[in-house]
Amino acid sequence: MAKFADLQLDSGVARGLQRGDRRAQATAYRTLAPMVMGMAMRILQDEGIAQEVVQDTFVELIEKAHTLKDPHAVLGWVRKVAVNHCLMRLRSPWHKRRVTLELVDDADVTNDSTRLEDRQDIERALGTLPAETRMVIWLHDVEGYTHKEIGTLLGRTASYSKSQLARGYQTLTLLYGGSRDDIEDSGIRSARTS
Amino acid sequence: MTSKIPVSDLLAHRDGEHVDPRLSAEIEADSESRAHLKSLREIKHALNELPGVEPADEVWQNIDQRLRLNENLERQRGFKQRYPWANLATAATVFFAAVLSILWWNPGDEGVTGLPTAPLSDLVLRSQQLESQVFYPQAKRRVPAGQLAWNSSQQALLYRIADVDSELNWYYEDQLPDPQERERLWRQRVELLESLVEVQRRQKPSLRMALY
Repeated sequence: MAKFADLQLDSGVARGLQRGDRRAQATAYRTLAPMVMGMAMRILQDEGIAQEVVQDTFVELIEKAHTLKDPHAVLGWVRKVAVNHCLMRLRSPWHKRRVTLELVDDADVTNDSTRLEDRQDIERALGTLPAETRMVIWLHDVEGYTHKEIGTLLGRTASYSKSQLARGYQTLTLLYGGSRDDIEDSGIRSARTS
Repeated sequence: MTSKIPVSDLLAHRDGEHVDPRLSAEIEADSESRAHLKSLREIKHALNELPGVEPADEVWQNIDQRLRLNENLERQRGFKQRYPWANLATAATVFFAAVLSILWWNPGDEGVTGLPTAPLSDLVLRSQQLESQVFYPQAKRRVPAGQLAWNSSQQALLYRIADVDSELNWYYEDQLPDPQERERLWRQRVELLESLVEVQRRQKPSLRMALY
């Protein structure tokens, strides 16, 4: 599972990070990097940029770990830094331009001709959403952020976060939820799981 | 799949946010809404089940490299803060090197100047040659300052050369008559410059790419 809430970082590793211990840094990276990468990949939908986020997050963690007063705060801190780096990239003019170009190609995702081949693929369904909507869905549904927290992060209101979540789910339901019902109706699902 | 109840209300119900009890009853009474709600729960569950993604191997190497680079930059800043006159000292040493090498072109002057013996003069000359090898190509190409950044290995070598230069500067200022120490420092300077030239030579293909 790709969420931070499921992770645990040994307190010895956290203290080692604070001391600048090389082995603790490597352990923290092995433990946390897949979560950071997973989140960045799902939000940014670009492997290269997601790897940049991982790099920036861990450089910041290692360089500033000595300033952390509470070793238990490491996980929350890493998540916060990673989310900020994702947001920075979403807001960069370069990323916006790239996304605009991509949206021209995938303008109508609900159209039959552009429907997903594998409708069970939640990742691909997520990838069809606008970047900010993806971020709202991920932060709310996976990372457990409240609408108020997301609104503050995005410089918007809690209502904006709620509306983005609802919009995103409308598309996800069509691409993923609806498809699962169709599969269930046709009996394919039970055949797959048996 | 459509239901009478808006998605936002169904999501609020799904997440246990404060919702009107009448709405909850309405959802329970309507099969379409129940199915929609079930679908929303399944999507949330599927998102939460997505696995982590292992970054490529080189990501950790890149992190390591960036940390070292930042350390070097930090050290450089610290050095400049502690020794704000370091650049001046380096310039003075280069000037010394130039003057000494000019003097040693004429072997007959050695006794008159009372300056270093032949091996030392070779070291000073070699140091000067290497220095022009390192810095002259950049000046010749008129690369604007900052465009051609030194990499971490080059920076590390430059700091060490600056350290040697400071020592040499102190040496000449205090005029301590210790030829062995003097020779050791010049030899160290030559070795460091040779390493710098070697690093620069290996870097040339990427350097060209950066320039063109």
